[in-house]
Amino acid sequence: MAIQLSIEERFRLNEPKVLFLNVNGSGLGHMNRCLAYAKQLQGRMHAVFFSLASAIEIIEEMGFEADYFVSPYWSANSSFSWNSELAVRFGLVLERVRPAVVVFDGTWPFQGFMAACEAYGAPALVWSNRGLLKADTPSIPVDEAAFDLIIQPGELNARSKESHLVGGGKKIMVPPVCLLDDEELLDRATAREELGLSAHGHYVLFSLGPGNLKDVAGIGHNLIRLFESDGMQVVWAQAPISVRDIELPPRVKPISRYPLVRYMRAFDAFVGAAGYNTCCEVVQAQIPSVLVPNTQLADDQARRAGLVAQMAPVVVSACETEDEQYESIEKLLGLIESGTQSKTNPFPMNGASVAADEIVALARSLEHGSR
Amino acid sequence: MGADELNLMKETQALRKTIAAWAADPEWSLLCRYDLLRLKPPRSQGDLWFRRAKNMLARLGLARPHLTKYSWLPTLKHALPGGNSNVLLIWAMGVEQDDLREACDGFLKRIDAESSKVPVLVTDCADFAYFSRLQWLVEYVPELNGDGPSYRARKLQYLAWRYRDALVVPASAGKACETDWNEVMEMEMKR
Repeated sequence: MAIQLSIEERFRLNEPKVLFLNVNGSGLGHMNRCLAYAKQLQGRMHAVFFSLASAIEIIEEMGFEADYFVSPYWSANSSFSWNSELAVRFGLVLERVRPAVVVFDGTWPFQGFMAACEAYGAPALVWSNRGLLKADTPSIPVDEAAFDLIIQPGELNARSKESHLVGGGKKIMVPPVCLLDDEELLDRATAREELGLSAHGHYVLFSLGPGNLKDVAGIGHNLIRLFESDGMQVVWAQAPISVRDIELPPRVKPISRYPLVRYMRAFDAFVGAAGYNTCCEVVQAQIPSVLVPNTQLADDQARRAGLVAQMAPVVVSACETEDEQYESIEKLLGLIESGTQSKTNPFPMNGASVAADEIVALARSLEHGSR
Repeated sequence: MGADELNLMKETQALRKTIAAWAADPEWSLLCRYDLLRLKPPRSQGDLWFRRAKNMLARLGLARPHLTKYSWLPTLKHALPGGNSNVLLIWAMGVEQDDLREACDGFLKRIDAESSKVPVLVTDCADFAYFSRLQWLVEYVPELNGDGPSYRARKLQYLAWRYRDALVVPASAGKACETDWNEVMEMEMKR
C-alpha cells in the first residue's frame, strides 16, 4: 500500500526542489501543464508553485505548496511596475524554496522573472513553451540561450524530438501533456455516481471556459436550448477563475470539479473550447464532442480542433450563427446515434512523464556539476 | 460604546500599530537585490556619485539605499473603476473561510457606497474561486516549507511596506454595524 506523506514530510526527504511559475491565460492551461509535470515528479523532486493563475486551492488540493501573484493580464499596472513587483515577489520565494530548477510556463518569459532568477543566482532554468500560435501572432524575441532546457508540449500528432541550444542547453518536443493518466479517468457509472447524475439520463457537459475574455453565455444559451429540446440534460462546468457568474437556465446543473477529465466519461456528449488541455482531454476520454475554437486567443485553436477530429468523435464549429449551432448539434447527435464513439489514437500522450524525466536529469546534472 | 465596538477599535488600533512598525522597517537589502534596474548604469557621472553616496549612507543606517521608483496600483482591469484609488487593506490572516466570506460580503456592501476605496485582501485562506468574483486584488500569504526565516513573516513585512499608505482594517470590520464601521474609518482620520 502506498504511504501518503504530508507536504512537510515530503519536504524533509531532502529531494531537490523545483519551482514552477505558471502564467494565467484564458483558462488554466499553463497551470494544468505545470501540475502535470509536478505530478510526474512526485517522489523525485519537491514541487512548489508561484502561480499567476488564481486557482490556488486546486494546486494545494493536489498536494503542492503555492503562492499567488496577480497576473499582468488582470493587474492595471504598467508593464514596468508589474515586472518590478514580480522580481521582488519571486525573489522572496526563490530565497525560501532554494530550488535546483525553475520552470516557467508561458508564451514569453517576463523580464521580472528573468531578473529575479539572475539576481538570486541563476538556478537551472526551464521554459515550457506551448506552440501552435496563429500565423499572424506577433513574435517577441526570446534569448533561448538563457535556458538550460526548453520543453515544447506537443500537439496531438507530436512525437518526441530534440535539438541543441546555443547556450549549451537543449530543446525538446514532447508528446501531449496530460494531467491524468488514462487509468485515472472514472468509468461512466462511477463518474455519474460521484456527480450525482442518474445512471439512465442523457447528459451533455459544457465547458466553454471562464468567460473572462469571451462572452460564452450567448453561445452557451442557444446550444443549451437546442440540447434540451432533444431531451438531453445540460451540465455546466463552472471555471474556478471566472470573475463573474454566468446566469444559467434553471434546468442546467452547474458543477465545479477539477480536473474535469476525470468525470468526462459520465457524459453522452461534450461541448467545449479548443484549448490545449480540453483537446487532450477529449482525445483521452473519447466522448462525442463539439469543439468551439476561440479565435480571440494567440493559439490556433481551429487547427488544433481539426487535429482532434482525426483522433476522437468530434464536430468542429465556430457556433456563431444559429445555423452553425443547429448543424453542429445535428452532426453530434448523428455521431452518438451511429455509435461512432472511440477512434484509435496512434500517438503517445505521455508528454508530462517525458518532460519530468528531463527535469530530473537536469537537476541531477547540477548535483554532479556536469551542467 | 458597546463591547463589540470596543473590541473592534482595539483590534484595529493594535493591527495598525503592528503594520506601521513593519512598514517602517522594510528589508532594504531584499528590495535592492531584486530591483529590476539594479544593473542599469546611472545616466550621468553626477547620478553615479549621488547613488554611491546614498548607498554609503544607507550602509551606515543614515539613509535609504537607492531603489528604482515605481507606482503600484491595486486595481484590476476587469473590476469597476475605483475612484481615486484609496487602498483599503483588509487584513484577514488566520480567518476561517466561512467567517471571511461573511466579512467580505459585508465589505462589498460598504465599499459599493464608498467607491473611492479599492480593497486589497491579505489572507492565508485559499478560497480563490470566491475571491475571483469579488474582483479585488488578493495578496495570498501562505507558509512555504524551506530554509531560513519564515516566508510568511517576510512576505507580511513586505506587504506592510508595499501598502504603507493604505487604510488598514481587520477582516472583522466587514461584519461591523454601521456605527462601528464609521468609528473605524474616523479613527484613521484622526491618525
